[in-house]
Parts: sequence; structure tokens; C-alpha cells
Amino acid sequence: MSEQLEMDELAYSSRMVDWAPLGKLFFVLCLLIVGLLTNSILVPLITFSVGIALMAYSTNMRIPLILSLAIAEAIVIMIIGSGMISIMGDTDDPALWEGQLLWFNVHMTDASFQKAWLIFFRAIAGVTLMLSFASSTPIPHLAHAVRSIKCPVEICELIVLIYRYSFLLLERFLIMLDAAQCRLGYNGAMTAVKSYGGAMAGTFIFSMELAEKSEAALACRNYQGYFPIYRMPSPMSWKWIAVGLGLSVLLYLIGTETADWIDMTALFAPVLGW
Amino acid sequence: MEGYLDPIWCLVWFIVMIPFFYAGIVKLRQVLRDHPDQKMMVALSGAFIFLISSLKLPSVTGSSAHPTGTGIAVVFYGVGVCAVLSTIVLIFQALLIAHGGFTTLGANCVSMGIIGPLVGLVFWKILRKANVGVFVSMAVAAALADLITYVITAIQMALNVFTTNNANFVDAFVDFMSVYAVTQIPLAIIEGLILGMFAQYLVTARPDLFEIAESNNVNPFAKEA
Repeated sequence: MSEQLEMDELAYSSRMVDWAPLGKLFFVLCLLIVGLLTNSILVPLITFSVGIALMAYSTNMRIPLILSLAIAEAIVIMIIGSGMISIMGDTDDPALWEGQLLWFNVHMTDASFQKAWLIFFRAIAGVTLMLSFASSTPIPHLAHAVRSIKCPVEICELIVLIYRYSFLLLERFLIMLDAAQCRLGYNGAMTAVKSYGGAMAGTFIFSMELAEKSEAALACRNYQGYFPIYRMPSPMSWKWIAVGLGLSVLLYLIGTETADWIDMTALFAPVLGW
Repeated sequence: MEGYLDPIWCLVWFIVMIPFFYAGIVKLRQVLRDHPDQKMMVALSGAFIFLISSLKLPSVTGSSAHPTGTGIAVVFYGVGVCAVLSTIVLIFQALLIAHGGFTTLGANCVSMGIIGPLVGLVFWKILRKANVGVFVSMAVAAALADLITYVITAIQMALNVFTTNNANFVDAFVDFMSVYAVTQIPLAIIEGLILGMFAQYLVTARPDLFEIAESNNVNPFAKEA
């Protein structure tokens, strides 16, 4: 959860914080979708480079360790997921690798191996693109942006409230867990479960009381379901739409032309003896 | 994860999600109109899902995995509102901790925010009707909500592999499920126990909170609006 705190700080100190949040979101979504629509590995590699470049510009390449660990954890999950996909090939096709691995029936085909690599690169590209957006857009800016495109006001309000309360809950929960540790609350499995349950209930009740008080405080300040932003980011202009769509079309064309350019099976053949 | 599903499946799961999400917005408006004082409670339930689903709990394999934490929200506000809260939480997870993604949001919402909690809610209602205690009812509801979430995720992944790799659906489902089972079965049991304890403490300290569920007419088979 401390990734959340780091990301929040990173977003507010980003060089891209004043860029239009909706524009950035549209741009990222365009690249994510075009990555899915093409079967060329080159397209995710390009979008990955775009994501890395944006992240580097946004954060000045000062990515906190905790975020790097989160990215590393995501990569491990991607490797496992892609590995699973690679071993589930069409049984009618000739196998590159067939047999038993742990309890899995392995039938890795050329198509499943290529697909797994494509998915892996798409996932890596997706993470860098999303992080480039997240590391430059504070959540209140995002809520304000979705409000401007007529998203239901209840949702916009909930986005900000959930975000604020998650900090409140996190802070209280960590204190409660420390308190539980001080009185040997993790001594044995059942005691640990009880400690976690107690800490959660305590956190929830305490935060609820605080939320009730904050509701009264907000009402005193004429809260109408909207938190003002004092340093407004730019509104989305047609340039964002032009750049997003233009780049998507270009990448799509590159993707259709280069679908067979990178053959991962051939690349790995000397190493794996296929 | 971003990029795992083919575009067609991204679209299909978004289409499945939309009616529940819409019903959730309608229900949310109704709850906030009838009980404006519950706004903070709804937000807190959402923040609670985020906290729990971001919490890494050790499983018996020595690895770590994530519980879903939707048990409480679904009992308090029903499936529709839980779908809305889960969607917001999933967006936060994708943006802040690099889990999930925008293109897989529909699929993740269907598994974590709709079907898992729906099954949990059905069991909560059945057990409470049978006069089973709050601890056991919540433990079973939370554990099943967690487990079913991953069963649905395994189905989603298997369907994707079935259509893209032309793999055998049943074999793929068994393979994905066996990977999840290693961490999720112990995790679901732990989550059930913890949320059971949580509900037990809550019913002792703030019994009025569980009246919310009654006042909101939470019924998994009733129309949300």
C-alpha cells in the first residue's frame, strides 16, 4: 500500500501534472487498444518505449524503489501468465515442447509460443503506459476530468472520497497492526487471524467515526459533492485527439506490415534446440 | 493484467459488466437520496475494498497473494453498488500499484465486483435466514466471494486461450485453476476467517451497521432500482 503514497507524491511533483488529464488518458487508451488490435510484437515494443519515455520525462527518471518493486512484481506475474499461455497450444499442431511439467500437460506450439511473447510485451507496454499516466495525474485531477465528460456526479465524488479514505484507513490500519505486534498479536496462526480481524474492525469503526466528523466539517464548508482544485490542469484540446488517433493509425499500419517480422520461435531455436 | 485478453474478450466482459454497473449507479443514487448520511459509509466501504485487496497476505506456499475484500460492501449495499465500488478500486489498482489494467477492467469487474460478491451475498442471506451466526455467515460469504472470483478469472483466462490458441477449454481451465488454487484456497480461508472476525467485532461494537443491509433491502435477486 505504500506504493499508493509514493505514487501520489510522484503525481503531484510530475513535470506533466499540468497536462490535460483527459488528453493523457485518451492518448494512453489509444495506445493500449492499438497494441491489442495488432499481432506484431513491434507495436508493443514501440508503445513500451513511448511509456518509458513519458515516465522518464514525468519523473525525471527518479522512480521510487517501492514502485520499482511493484513493477518487478507485476513482471513476475506476467512471466507466469505468459508461460501458462505458451504451454497451452493447439494439440492438433506439432509441438515444440511436449510433456509433463509439475502437474501441467505441456503442449507448446509455435503459435502458442509466439502468442505468449506477444501477450508478455503487450502487458509490459501496458504497465509502462499506465504508470506514465498515473505518475503524472493525481486522482483528484482524474475525478475532475471524468466529471467534465458528464460521468455521474456520484461516481466522481466517490472516486475522490474512496481515494481520501484509503489513506485514512491505511494510516490507522498500520498503527493497529503495530499495536498488535507490540502485544504479541501474531503469536500463533489463530491469534494472528484474530489480530488482523480486530485491527480491521478497529480501523473501520475509527475511520467511520472520523468520516462522520469530516462529513459535518465538510457540510460546514458548504460541501456540495465537489472538491475544488486550486491548480487546475489544462483542459483537453483537439491536439490530444489528433495525436492519439494519428499515432494509433500509424501504429496499426506498422503492426499490419510487420506482423511476421519478429519470430520469437526462431530467435529461441538455437538456445532451446528447436 | 493489461494486454492478456484479446480485444473481443475485453469487449464481451465490458458488455457483461455494463448492466450491473448501471444498476449499481441507480441503486447508489437511491441509497444516497434516501440516506444522505450513508455517503461516507459507502466511500469507506470502497476504501476498505482497496485496502484489503492491496494487502499482501502470506499463504501456505510461502508466496503472497491478494484477498478481494468485497464481502462487507456486498452485504451492506448489494451487488450493483459493489460492482461500482469494485470498478473504482480496480482503476486505482491499475494506476497506483500496477495490478490489472484498463483493457481488462470489464473482466476484472465481472469476476471481483459482480459474480464473486453475488455468490457471497447469496450464501450470506441463506446462512442468516437459517439463523447461523454472523461470524460463520461472513466467513463463508467472504471466502466464497474470494474463491469464486478466481474461478471466474480462471474461466475468463481459459476462454481467452481457447479462442486464441485453440487450446482445450477444460484442460486450460484446470491448469489455470490449479495455479490459482495453490495460493487462493488458503488465502480465501484466511480472508474468510479475518472478515468473519471483523464482522463479529463489528456486530458487537456497532450493531446498527448491519441494519444498513436490511434498510437497503439487499437482495441478490431483486431488481436494483
